[in-house]
Amino acid sequence: MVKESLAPGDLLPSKITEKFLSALAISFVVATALAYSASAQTFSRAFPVPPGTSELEVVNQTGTIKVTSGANTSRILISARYSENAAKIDATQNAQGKVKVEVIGQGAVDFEITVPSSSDIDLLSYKGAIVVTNLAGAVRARITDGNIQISGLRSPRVEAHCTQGNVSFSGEVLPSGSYTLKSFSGRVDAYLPTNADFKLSAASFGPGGMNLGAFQMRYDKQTHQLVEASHGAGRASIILWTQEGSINLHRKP
Amino acid sequence: MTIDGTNNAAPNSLSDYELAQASAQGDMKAFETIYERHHRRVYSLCLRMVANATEAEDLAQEVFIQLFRKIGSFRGESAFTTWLHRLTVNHVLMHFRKRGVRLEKTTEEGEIGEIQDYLQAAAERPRFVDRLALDKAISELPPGYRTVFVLHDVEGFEHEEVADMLGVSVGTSKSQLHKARMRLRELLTRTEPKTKKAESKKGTKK
Amino acid sequence: MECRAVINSLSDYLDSQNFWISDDEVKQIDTHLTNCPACQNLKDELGEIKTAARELPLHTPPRAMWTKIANVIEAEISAENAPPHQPKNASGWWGWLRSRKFTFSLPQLAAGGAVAAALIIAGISGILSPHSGALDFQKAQSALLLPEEREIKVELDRRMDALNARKATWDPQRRAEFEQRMNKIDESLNQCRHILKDNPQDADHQKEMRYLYVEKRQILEDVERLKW
Repeated sequence: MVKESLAPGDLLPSKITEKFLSALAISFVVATALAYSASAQTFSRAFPVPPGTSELEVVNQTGTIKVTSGANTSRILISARYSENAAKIDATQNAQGKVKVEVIGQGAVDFEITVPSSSDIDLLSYKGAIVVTNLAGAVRARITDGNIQISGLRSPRVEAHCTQGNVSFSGEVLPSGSYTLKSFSGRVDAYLPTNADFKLSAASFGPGGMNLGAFQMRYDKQTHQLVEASHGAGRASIILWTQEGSINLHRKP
Repeated sequence: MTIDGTNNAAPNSLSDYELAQASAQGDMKAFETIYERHHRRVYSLCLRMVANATEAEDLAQEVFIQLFRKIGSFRGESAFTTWLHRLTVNHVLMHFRKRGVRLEKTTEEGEIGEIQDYLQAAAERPRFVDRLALDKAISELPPGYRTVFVLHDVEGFEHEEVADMLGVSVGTSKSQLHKARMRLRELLTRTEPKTKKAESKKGTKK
Repeated sequence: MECRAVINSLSDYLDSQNFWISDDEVKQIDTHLTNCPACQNLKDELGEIKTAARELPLHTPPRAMWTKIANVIEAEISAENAPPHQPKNASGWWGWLRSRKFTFSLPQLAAGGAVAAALIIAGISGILSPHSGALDFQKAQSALLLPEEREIKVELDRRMDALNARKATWDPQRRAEFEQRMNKIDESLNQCRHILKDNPQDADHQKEMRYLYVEKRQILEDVERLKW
């Protein structure tokens, strides 16, 4: 890990051009003390991104991925904690400015990432957890074993899918937005605004059933396992699925 | 080594490795010798794993065709028979996967049956394993038990190898083997030898 | 040691040259067997099965098998030597399939393919009974009639094949978890098929089946993205 001392202004050139973006990412050490045992390692990387359009992809094996928005609209800041020698983190940026972070090896890595709120993000993990807060871009989150918690969103497109674990979403429902929340064996909880305007397609094939009472909807189809219904003019599309768990709609407080 | 430097060496005196090398060069006579040496083994293995003669024939054919394509990659690092064996097993397993044949998970209830049934008439039974009957009984096993039994008891793979090939744990391989043996015993007990002692022909109720 | 415990350990006992059970346990079983003729007899019979298995005869396939093999090989050899070498999978619907990016999107299916899907499901139901000794493969193949269903099956098979090549290198726990998840999905798929066999118009189970296929595909896609 190279220690460089940089003045705050150095990080933000006045003009972010295509050419600049294709340059190597800046790396610097975040000045936080190690709170854990001596064997924990930290990783830190910052990438400049054009404001208004940025993309992030994270592929983790085991551990937590937390993504939230930061005040800075032209930077993606990645920090991670992991055990010594167990994993390698590869963080790169392509010519279009898309940032990809990939974990190689099986060690557990916990990520905390700050992005501009309009970023589109794509998160994949095998085991652990995914937490996404306060974003306005498209969100895709997939984990095999672990929970997905998404809150404070004003996003037009959300896809959250876990095989073992619970999916919970709380956010705005934008007109012509698309929200797909799936969990093979866990709970799916959707917290939506009381005036949300959506058509719902819900499927629950297990004993957990569906608890949709929070919204007075018009039902086009209703069986124990499948529901097609709408609320308001039915513009946004919400798809909820569980094979063995339960589906629960709530009003956002 | 008996090669005299020309292509006149009697193929049958060559080692599998040498024949493999020759086959890789396109020597069909050498490959035919390999076939002569190993085809019954390959076919028997396929037959015991799929319990259907037509399929076994198709599979064994495919194995030899695959063998011909790959034979150049045999480096002699293991015995040729071991290599060919694994090729055969992998081919059959892939066939199972493509056809959606699921090798059952271990279940605990009812698989071994009631203790009393086994203990009851056990002492009076004469020696009972007849090889033809055993083959028939093997073909009546469910695919999962059959595969593990054939690989371990018939073909001699160790549990670690079986587990590796099937993508299961050693524990699963062992418990499937035990259940296979118990089920075979049950199947063999039902088909009593007709020409043997008349006094052993009493119905065993389960 | 009581009979049930002994019976459960008999295979390990018979294979104990591989150290599957401790010397202690072997002694305990020995003791039990000396005093329990029924278990002793059971052990003898299992032992005979094990021994007989090693002595099973080799079966002989028909003579014609070699002819068929030789024909295929000879055809391949001459094809290799022939001029314009046809690349595999270039033509026909297979080539089209490979070049096309296949997205299995449920709303898409729901919108345009409900009837087609019903026909597909009706077609594929009843092909694979998971417990039968006689496996009806020919029927299985011809039952996958419609493009939408065939595509996903083909795609899944392709991904599975690629994955199987690498699975041997996985950590055993990961492998076991993967197998367990796939088995669970397959179990549910089989149940759907069973139900759709009797009621081909059952929309709930048609939809369930579609979701299950998507789940399966996602797991396979994960393996690729996680670079396992």
